[in-house]
Amino acid sequence: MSRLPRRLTCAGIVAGALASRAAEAHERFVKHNLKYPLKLEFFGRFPGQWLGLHPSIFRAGVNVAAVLFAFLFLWFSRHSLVQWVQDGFGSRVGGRVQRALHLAACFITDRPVKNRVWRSLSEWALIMFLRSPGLVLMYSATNDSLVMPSYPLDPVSATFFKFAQVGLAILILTQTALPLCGAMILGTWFYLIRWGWMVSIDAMPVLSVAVVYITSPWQSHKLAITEMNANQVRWVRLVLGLGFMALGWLKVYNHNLVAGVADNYPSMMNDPMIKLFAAGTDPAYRREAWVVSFGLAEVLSGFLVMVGVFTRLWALLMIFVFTKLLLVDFGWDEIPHIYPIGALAAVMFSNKLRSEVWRFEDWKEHARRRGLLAKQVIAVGLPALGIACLVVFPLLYLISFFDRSNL
Amino acid sequence: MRLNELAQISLFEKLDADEISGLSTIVKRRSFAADTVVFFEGDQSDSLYAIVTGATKVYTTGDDGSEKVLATFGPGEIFGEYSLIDGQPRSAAVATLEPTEVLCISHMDFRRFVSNAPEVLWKVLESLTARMRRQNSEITELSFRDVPYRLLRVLVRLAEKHGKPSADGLVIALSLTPATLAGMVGSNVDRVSRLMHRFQGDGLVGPLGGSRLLVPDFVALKRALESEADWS
Repeated sequence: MSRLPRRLTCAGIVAGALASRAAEAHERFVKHNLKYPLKLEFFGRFPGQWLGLHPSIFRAGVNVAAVLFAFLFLWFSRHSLVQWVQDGFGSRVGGRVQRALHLAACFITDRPVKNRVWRSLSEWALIMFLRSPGLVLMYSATNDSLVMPSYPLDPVSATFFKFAQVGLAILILTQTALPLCGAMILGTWFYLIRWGWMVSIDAMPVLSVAVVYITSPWQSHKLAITEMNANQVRWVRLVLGLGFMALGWLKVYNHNLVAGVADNYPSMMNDPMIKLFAAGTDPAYRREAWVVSFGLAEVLSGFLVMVGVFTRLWALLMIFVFTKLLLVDFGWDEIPHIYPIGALAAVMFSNKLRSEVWRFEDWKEHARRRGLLAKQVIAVGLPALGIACLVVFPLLYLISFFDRSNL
Repeated sequence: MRLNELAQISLFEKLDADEISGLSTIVKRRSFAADTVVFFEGDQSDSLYAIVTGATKVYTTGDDGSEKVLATFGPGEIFGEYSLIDGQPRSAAVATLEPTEVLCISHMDFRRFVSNAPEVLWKVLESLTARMRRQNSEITELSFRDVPYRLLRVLVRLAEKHGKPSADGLVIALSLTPATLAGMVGSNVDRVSRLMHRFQGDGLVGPLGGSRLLVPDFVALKRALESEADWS
């Protein structure tokens, strides 16, 4: 049996072992009870309006699609822009200033940042990322939870699962048998599906570390793993981005939960980016528009991380958001957020970032080398517009058909 | 644009006067101060550069930011020719070692120009091929030579390209360190430091370090290279 099927079999066995009634998934620590009911008609169908959506939902969608379009357009044009700055300004100043500018450009455009301090930070971020799940598991075990504090353990099997989590945490903290740890995490995630698809989506970002564990060598305890290969970075980015994107749609879908959290933690509603996305929406539906904008903001950031467009900028922004949630909005109860912070830091500091939209860049480059300006604009503008619309509107349209009043 | 400057560039040595004159219409002149990067590794720029005055170094950067110098270029030499043809990202960075003036031809302008004068493309390709053949034979030859020979060869080349006559001998006005030379000869810093100390004792070079290297007797340095070739 080759390695991957053997590891997947291992994951299946662990999933089977976990398939007993162990957790009752619901939010425990972060309060989410609605203080005032939402105006539910906002989320339903509006025949005669664009896509049959409430005009404010459509407006928030347009805002997010416009920002997504702008970022994609800039991404496809980044080489020309950087070259323009380099030729126009960088080569005039020269010396250290020019090299510092170059490093900044490399950071923004996801090119390798070749610097001693950066390298050390990259190694440290990966060490934290690979070990932080161990800390989260220890925290969960001491709080009678499974994987995340949100999922309390059933008292009948709590002792077994607490010891299992501590055992897994010890393996992770000592970096022992990492492929087994990956299989166990994957198995636990499959197990969470039985508590509903929303729970499994909630836990999706946890899978990004499982990818690295599964693809690590068995003798991991003897190795200092301080660097991910390009494929590992790609998979972490894809899984993490897809996870956050799915979480964003889940927030749009499960509006009561999100509004409930905002009711209990009002400081969340002051986020300038969410305010930007909610610009132009009906003030009579302030909370409802905020929920949609909040969800779409996560869809946007998750999508850009997933496809590798300005990955570092968005990872940095998300690190800031998670740190703020941890330190300002929710406090100690959100301490498990050190895991996504570690994951995003490992991606951000990686020098092996790739984009999934390289084919469009090839078209643009082909046109540029032939001096065809109109073709360049088309090669950049059309894909950017198409992607921006496809990411936002189809699901926004579909979700409006579901009655979510009883969620 | 002075036509004789263009004619002296190795890549265009096979072009006749009319072709050089035509080519001069698409050539741009650019000046860079010392210690300025012309382009970075991985850049998408696709221009060819030819040095009129000054000197440049070609280098790659390690993940920790350390530079490894691969070669130096002086007047009449070209760099960036591969990206002119294939448009791939730059495989190494180029920075000036002193105030440098270059002639620059962009891919787009060159493409338009040769579409009207295809004979020029063939002549340029002939020069490029000859250059690649020379480089290949040098690489093959060097792979059979040991470090002392390779180091002496680099020193002779540096003196030929960048050496300026003075009362004490030839002065190479570049800031060369053992690490720079080690990168150029494909060896380690310890080995290169020991060899430079030996060459200094033999009177072939002055002390290494600072912003210049003295070659008191260039003829003796060349003889040392020939002698090393016999033993290497």
